Amino acid sequence: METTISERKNTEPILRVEHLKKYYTYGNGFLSHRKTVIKAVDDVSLSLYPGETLAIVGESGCGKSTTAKSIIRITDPTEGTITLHGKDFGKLSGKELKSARQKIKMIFQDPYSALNPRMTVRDIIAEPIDISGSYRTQAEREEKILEACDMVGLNRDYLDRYPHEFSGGQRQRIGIARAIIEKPDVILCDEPVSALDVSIQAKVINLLKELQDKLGVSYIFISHDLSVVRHVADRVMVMYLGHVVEEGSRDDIFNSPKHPYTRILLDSIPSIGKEMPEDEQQLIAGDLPSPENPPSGCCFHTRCPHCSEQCRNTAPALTEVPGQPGHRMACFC
Amino acid sequence: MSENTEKNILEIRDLNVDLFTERGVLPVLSHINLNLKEGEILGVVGESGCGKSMLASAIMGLVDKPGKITGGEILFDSEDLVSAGKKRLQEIRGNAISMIFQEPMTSLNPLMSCGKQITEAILAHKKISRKEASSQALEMIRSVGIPMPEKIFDAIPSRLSGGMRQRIMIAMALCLKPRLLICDEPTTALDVTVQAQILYLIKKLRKEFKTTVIFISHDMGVISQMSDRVAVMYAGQVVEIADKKDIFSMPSHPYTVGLEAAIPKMDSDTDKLESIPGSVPMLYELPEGCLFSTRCSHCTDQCKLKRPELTILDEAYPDHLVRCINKDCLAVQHSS
Repeated sequence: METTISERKNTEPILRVEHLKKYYTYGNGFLSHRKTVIKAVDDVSLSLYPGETLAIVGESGCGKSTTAKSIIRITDPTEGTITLHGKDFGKLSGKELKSARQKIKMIFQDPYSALNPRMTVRDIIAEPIDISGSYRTQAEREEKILEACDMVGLNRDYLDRYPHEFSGGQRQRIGIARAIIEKPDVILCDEPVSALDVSIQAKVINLLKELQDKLGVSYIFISHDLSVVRHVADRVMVMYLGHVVEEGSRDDIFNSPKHPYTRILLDSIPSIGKEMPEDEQQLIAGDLPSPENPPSGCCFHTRCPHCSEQCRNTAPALTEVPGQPGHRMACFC
Repeated sequence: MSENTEKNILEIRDLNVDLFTERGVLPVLSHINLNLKEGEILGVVGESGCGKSMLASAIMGLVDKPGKITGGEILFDSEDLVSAGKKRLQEIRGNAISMIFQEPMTSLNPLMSCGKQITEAILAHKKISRKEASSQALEMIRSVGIPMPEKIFDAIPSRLSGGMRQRIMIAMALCLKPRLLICDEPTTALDVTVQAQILYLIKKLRKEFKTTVIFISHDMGVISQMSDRVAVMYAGQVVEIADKKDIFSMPSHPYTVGLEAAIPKMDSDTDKLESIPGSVPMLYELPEGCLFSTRCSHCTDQCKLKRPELTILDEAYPDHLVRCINKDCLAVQHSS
């Protein structure tokens, strides 16, 4: 489903997010007036085109899940606009929000906690259409359930069972069936395979790709596993401490990564046949800084091997790599 | 690593562990045979529920109800740990054999400073003064690459990041210079960049301390970076064991082949990932014949009748053992 940049100029993005910010504040005990602000997501913009997969990668705490939750408004963003199908999704409320949400769905990481243990599989899958009321008769409801069930390869006989009777992979299928029953245009997948074993993971990834071909749905695919991302993504965004540090097509990111963090991330993946670096210098030093007290200047400078004086003082802007349209990164180097 | 002069530090012979549950007696580990040479890293890989953590517990003497070791021997330096008494096991645990767990926060005491916890571990096994023990603990914290060790010595674990906590766990595991170190998914809860640091540290320290390591993981990539030899486990059995290069260049059990094919590779552009049909059988519904027969594409009638033994793949590779009666047909595929 690769579309070139020139083709894209003619198509409108389904989803456009501009300058999204999500700050959490909390007090330091009830006698203190000081408030601590955590900038979980700090100025993230993205566009999602029909039928494509945009992956967001980064380590824990980089803000990738918060970005997804803010887009679908599980938590309301602090600032920024979200445009879905040309409508200002960020400003909707009540009935309008409910009906707009039919077109945007989410799949969660942990299939054990994402399904209500006291509901049957049939009711879990039907919950979105029960909420939106998009059927007239019980027969129509059943028809929709069976269609979703077949599409994800779930045995129809299992519909009256409860989630605890299923394995992780099967539960994830139930979660996916629930997400596609209303034929959405956008599905946010938050680490959909990281709780699964490799042999099961492969099946779920294949299923997601198959559904994209059939339904033309766009994915925002959040993952920390770069080898999975390389397999599913058309475009990739790399996040670090709430900021986007690099974005580009899959080939840009994996074949010619420009930001030092992206390069280190790619080097850190253990894979078969790859030897461990002989020298400690090749490893990234230190831990992720605390988001309570983020570094000044470039957010990555505390761990960057190429850090200079400029990096410590000023934050680099996300700019296009010369000669590579669509490939942008935030670094002075 | 194939000289015969090297002696085995650990020999597991026909080990069986069963779970006694309401559903009956379930075999978590059946007929495990493993030898561990001094100084090597043995990688143990398999999916969840294959028994790899139970194997670690059995070696540590930590199998608890409803589980029970129902047969076999675990010889550590020719001493049988299965028949050893509680007191003897306590002497060995943490001293000659120690372990690093997956989730450092649940294995550290949240109310005690990191330094004190390591000191206590040393004092439990060595008759030295507390002052001496705590200076040894500080030295250990320094050697696992923690910046400002004096400060961290007094910090409680919740003040530290995941990577730092895992370093403290490693310091505690190595403070008595164990001869055998068991790492049970030590980096699964960590981010990739921190994982790379910890893996490097384990490799560096085991050279320094001359420790033999059993490294358990579900991640084939991590296993391939860390191990000298690899054992693949499935449903409580070792299905294949060989030198690292052999297991990845000529995997000979259908399960090993399937497991490798299911991993998305960084250097291939296949559109569809291979997957293994079905899922791991539950312990109460294990097939009568080969445990993998329900999911195997090479399954024959004979596979369904009898459980295969772990046998040598080929005379040319005496260290490559496979539990499959059709191993020859897979071997032919490799050579062609």
